[in-house]
Amino acid sequence: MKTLIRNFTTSLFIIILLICAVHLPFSSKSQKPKISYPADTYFKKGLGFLSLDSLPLAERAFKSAIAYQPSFAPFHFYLALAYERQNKYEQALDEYHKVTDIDPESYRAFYNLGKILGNAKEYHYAITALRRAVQLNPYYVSAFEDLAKLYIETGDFENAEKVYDYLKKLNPGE
Amino acid sequence: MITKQKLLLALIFLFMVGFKVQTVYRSQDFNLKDDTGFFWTESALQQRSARLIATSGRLPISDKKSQCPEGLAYQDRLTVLMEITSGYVYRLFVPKTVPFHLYLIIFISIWSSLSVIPLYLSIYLLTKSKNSSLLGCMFYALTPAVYTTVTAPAFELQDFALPLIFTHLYFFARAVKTSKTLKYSYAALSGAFLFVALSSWHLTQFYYALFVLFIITIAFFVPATDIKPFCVIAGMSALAGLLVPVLQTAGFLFSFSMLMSYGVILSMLIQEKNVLLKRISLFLVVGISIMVTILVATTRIPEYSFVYGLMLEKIKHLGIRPDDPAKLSWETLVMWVSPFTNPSVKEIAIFIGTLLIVGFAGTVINIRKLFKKIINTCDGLFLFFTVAFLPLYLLLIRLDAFLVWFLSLQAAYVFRFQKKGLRLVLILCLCINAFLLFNQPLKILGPKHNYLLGVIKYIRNLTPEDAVVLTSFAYGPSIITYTERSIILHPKFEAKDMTTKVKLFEHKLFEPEAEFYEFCMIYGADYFVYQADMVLARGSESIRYRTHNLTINKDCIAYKLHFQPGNLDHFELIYSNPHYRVYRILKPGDWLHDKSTKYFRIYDEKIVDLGKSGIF
Repeated sequence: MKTLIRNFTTSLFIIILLICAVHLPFSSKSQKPKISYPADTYFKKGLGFLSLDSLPLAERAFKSAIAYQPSFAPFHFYLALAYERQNKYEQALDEYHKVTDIDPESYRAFYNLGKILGNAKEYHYAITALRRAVQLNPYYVSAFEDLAKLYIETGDFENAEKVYDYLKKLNPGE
Repeated sequence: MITKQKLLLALIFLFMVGFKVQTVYRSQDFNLKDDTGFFWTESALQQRSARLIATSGRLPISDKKSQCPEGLAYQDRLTVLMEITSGYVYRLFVPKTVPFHLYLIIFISIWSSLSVIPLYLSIYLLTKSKNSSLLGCMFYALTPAVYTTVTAPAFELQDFALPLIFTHLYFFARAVKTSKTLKYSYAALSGAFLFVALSSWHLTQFYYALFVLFIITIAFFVPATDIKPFCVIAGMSALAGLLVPVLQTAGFLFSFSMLMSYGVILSMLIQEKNVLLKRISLFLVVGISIMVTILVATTRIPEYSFVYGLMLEKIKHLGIRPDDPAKLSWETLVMWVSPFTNPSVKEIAIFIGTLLIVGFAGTVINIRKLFKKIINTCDGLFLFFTVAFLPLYLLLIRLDAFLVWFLSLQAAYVFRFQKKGLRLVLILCLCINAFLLFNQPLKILGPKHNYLLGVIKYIRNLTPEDAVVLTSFAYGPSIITYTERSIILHPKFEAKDMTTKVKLFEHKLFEPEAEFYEFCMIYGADYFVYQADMVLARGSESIRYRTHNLTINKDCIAYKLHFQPGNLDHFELIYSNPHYRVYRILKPGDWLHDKSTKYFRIYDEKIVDLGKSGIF
């Protein structure tokens, strides 16, 4: 008898609860959830500081953005840029590598990588990075120019000439 | 008193919860501090509803933001019980320092793992062996298919509804097995759980149709069987059809399963002696129900025809999608996508593993009992579902969650044999499943995170708050949930007019600009999110395949959106990454700004092989 009453009471309780659940929480007013995304706020701050040349502050802001959202390539790109402009090349390289890992289509990251590596006389790696940049964007004039310069610096005049020929076709007036 | 068995069952349950949570936590795209883009498609929309409940305690009856301009009728069209439950639990009991998306994963991991409890109880009810029950549960817990939805990561309605359905089945079995006095009380409990399941997942109706078919089968072949507990369940289901708004709107009271239920109850009025009349009446019940359902599906509630149509076409084509999409309608093809596809042999081996063999052995044992006519109604009930879900799973991979549960139950019959050699084989099978589980490749549902984040962040930060964004139906939830901008299309096809809108949108993409622009104006779109795969993808799940546009010409808007944005009159390209582009839709009087966006070779018509992509 006890089980009988318990079973019926439980069933009734479940059904009443359910009917309340499918009727009570609805209102005719549309709701707007309060959500905040600190990563975006820090990123905007970082961009502002970068444009004002407040590089340590920009660096801090971009780091905070990354702490909230580590898998977004532009955050790493701009942090790398902030490092680069402070001459912190090793950190910049690390960040550019992260960008190319997350976004293998980022020709700007490959280009900046190539430039830093070229300045550090790491010619082989620099050329590889720049070749990737121009492969991803065959209209990237500055990347072609830097690539040609690196070929010349390494004595590879044949490839440098090829690059200049390509650039002529790209910009016949110049 | 806590017995050894209960403790072990608790450990199995904790293992399941722990495995689900840690798999999501370890995944590359999981971010504890920011949920942007974490859930995908329907799960994202469900996250938003749960978040609305958690933050405000309310859901809109109809929400214009979720379906512009007509509004999405949450109360009448969507089964939002999971969101309401999870939202209120968070609101009332969970510290707000716990990130909401992490909480949702923990919630759904715990809830979905509850299926192991009715499994234990059902096996014990059938076999009276605690060891067999535990072994069945261990098989269930070590089968990879159990984890595929939650770890996707997803916040899916089926994970909420399944424990309820299995509990309903357990109580029904108990009602069948119990003495007269308690029979109806257990049937009431069974009905109550089914009531909740029906209110929380649309597809429960299709399970219920199978359940009624079992009752009809029993009544047909063994007319002497007492099926009175079913009346209680059918009565409570009818009550659900009357009281739950979403079931009222779906016309559940006149659905295939309910029509058959009424028929079964009516046939019970026929005297037991008159077996032939009873059988003829049951036969007629099924026939009339099918005819009425076809009529309702084609004229009154077209959403039903999507599911029934898909099943019929799958049977017609033996589960293999034809090479020529023109053989199938858009309505069938839009449903014939993951997870409504059929599993490959490799997927069966990886996701079900040795459970298929052991469960099948148990099924054979019961089939032999059936032929020897020594099977009881309870064994027959679970055998019916196992046999029914085997072919259904081969048609729809999504039904693996059902099949695994029933196979684990059937496996318990094998454990009853006391042979030492057999036990060793079973242990080996368990080990193989454990190996498969721990070594399964991480399956990430949804698109590449970085590019999706790019488009979400652009819309969130650089468009007006009242902007209306047009996307493909799969991407709509990501936009509304993570940017709070209004959307036009979403994947809840049960919403009024949604299928018509999606169909129109997908076809207009391959028409001239003026036609597509007119569509945007009718629905008030301010921005359009273009996906690179709208033009480039020609696979069996692509828009081009389902709209029968495997070859397109350069005059259609999709081509221009991809390759020639400068040649568009009403669409201004404002953001671009290798997967997505955002266009501002110009209203009459708006000026086209000369904005240059980044170059990506995927959008370069000189680089992309147009002929190979079927563009002429």
